[in-house]
Amino acid sequence: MHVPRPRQSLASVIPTATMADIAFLLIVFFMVTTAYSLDRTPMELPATREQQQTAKGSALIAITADETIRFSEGEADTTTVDGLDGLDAAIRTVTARNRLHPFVIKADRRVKYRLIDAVLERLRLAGAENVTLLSQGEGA
Amino acid sequence: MKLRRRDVPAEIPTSSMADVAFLLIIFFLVASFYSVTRGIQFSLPRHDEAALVAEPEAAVLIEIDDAGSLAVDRRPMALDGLRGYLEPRLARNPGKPVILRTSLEAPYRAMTDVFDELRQVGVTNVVIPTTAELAQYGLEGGS
Repeated sequence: MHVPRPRQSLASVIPTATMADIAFLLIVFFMVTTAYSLDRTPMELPATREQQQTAKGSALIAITADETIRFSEGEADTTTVDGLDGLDAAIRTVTARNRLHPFVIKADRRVKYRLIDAVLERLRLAGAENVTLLSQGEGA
Repeated sequence: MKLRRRDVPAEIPTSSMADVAFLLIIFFLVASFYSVTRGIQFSLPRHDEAALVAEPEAAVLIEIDDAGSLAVDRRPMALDGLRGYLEPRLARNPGKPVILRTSLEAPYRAMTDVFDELRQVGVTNVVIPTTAELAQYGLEGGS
């Protein structure tokens, strides 16, 4: 005997609401962990096996292979400073506010140590203590 | 006349939201991959005269010449030899200061290579005196 069944209509919908939840969680994760480069000058960084994360908001001193010095207090992008004297004034502006403010030196690996020595000396005289030499992981 | 009621499904369209979210994920992924924010940390000594003027047998002096070659306690040594030289000394005194003096004409890379090796060996007390600092203590010509 043929029994007529009530027709069930199944909506052809893929539930995407939870996917958005996961996606937004991932976005929040990457937003929190991403630190933007304050200096996008292309340069060859020295390679090291030791790699420690720099503190967010660190002041950045960028030194290119042609010995141009750029500086950022840690919030805006780097700008070119007028040689070592200009850098000295910029460093002192930061250390006058907070002596423990971290500094990052991003220097091309071909730069002569003479310039790095001069920068370290200015940092030392300005009272800076926490310095990170930016590097790329070995094999990177 | 009777108007026919249209059934509007009570649903918020979320499919495009997922598209936007995944685009943002890709953006942050790429941004985090390309930003170089890692390196070797160290503290600039403020008044570390003690390490600089330490007795020769108390501190290890590493000098890097113009070509990037090493001399450890005045003896030429390859970078690979540092571990074998330092490990027994660190076993006796884990806080042994190591003074790293780099020639002004040497490439910056030579200094970071040695500094990295020292960290790999486990040296915690690395002193990187500047030329002015050495002159201040009368050590610019070698200690």
